[in-house]
Amino acid sequence: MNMLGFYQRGDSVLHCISPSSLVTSYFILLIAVVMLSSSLPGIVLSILLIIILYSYGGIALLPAVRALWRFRAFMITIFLMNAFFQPAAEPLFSWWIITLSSDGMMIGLRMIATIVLVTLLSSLLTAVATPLKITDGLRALLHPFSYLHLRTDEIALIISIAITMIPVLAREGRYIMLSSRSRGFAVHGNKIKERVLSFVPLVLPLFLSAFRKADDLTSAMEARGYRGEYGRKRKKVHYAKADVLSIILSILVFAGAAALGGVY
Amino acid sequence: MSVLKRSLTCAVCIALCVVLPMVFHAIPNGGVLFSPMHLPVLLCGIVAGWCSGVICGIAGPLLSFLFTGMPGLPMLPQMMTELGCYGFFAGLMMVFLHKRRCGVIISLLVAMIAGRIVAGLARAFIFTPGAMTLPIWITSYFVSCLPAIIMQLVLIPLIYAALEKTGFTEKEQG
Repeated sequence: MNMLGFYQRGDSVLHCISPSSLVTSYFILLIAVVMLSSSLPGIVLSILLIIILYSYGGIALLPAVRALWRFRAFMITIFLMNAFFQPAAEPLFSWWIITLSSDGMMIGLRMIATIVLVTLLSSLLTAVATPLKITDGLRALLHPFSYLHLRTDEIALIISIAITMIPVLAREGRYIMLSSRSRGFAVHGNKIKERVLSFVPLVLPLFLSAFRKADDLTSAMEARGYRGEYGRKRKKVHYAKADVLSIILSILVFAGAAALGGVY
Repeated sequence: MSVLKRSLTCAVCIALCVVLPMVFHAIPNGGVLFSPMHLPVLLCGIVAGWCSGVICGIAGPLLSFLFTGMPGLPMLPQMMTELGCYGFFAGLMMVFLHKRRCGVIISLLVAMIAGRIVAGLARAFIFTPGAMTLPIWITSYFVSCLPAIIMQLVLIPLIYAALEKTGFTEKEQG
């Protein structure tokens, strides 16, 4: 199953790139994809880019798309809200507060495309890099801030653990939601108080479970003698041709996206 | 609470900033009405301190954008400012009020008001200069998200009380 945040073993080119190059390339490509998803040709190019990256990473794209399919109701809502409620100078159809316009449909499509493409790209990062690798990459990227006396190692650790926790808590949330629904959960009542109170059995167990996980993880790390970055020895990273190439290619894609943004 | 525990609590709250909106979006209009990302940030500030609160408030929306594309790019800086302030003020108030019986509620109220003032000022002078007026500020930050405010005032003291009961918020011995 290719759910967001799960690492998949492999020996592809993307698996072998050094952490700092991988995370840097990811951020450059992310900005490029967001820029590209503002136009229809850009969306097509971004999809092609994602397909190429997934094939280079040896990761199956279909399970990732299937994982995204779960959010179809949300995406359809976004599309319909934009298609029918965007004020437009030349509407295709207008009645009361409803205004169907091609501009509104395009805005909705762009929003959905951005969400899908960004999620697929992030999903690829977590599929080809272990949390440790992502931490190392983030640490390298955040290193300049350490001159401002910011504890960049700790921030990198926090973000890396957060990324690891996302699929775990998402699964937990889904189970709680399903079990609540099986017991007849529904957002009932017109009064705000009733609506708010109906969320308590949904949110409270998720929070308590998350904090229990944090507590367990703290105990485990302290038991293994974790004392932050103090006294830790790190293996020196050797950069290969693939690292330089990945960053150059990402910059080229970014430059292409910027140029295309000017055209459209 | 040890530094490691603070860091891990912050990490879990950042993860909840990504997961909770997913859960709430499964319910029609749930995301807009209940501002689910505010909950973990406020709680992080209250439980783990102002520093963790700020990190959670900034990293939470950023990570949510990277993993789910929400909130959209134009809203991202505004949300990072607003949530960063929530985490900061909630944690800061708890430094002074953690021994008081109503400390959590007062911290929450101060954080919500201060965060909304800073976010409104940031929108008025930086993000959307000229477009922000007092009625718009009141409508967008208090009226439209009234269910979210009530939910935060109900749920956060409940969760904090449960964490206190389990000994999660206890100070480190020695």
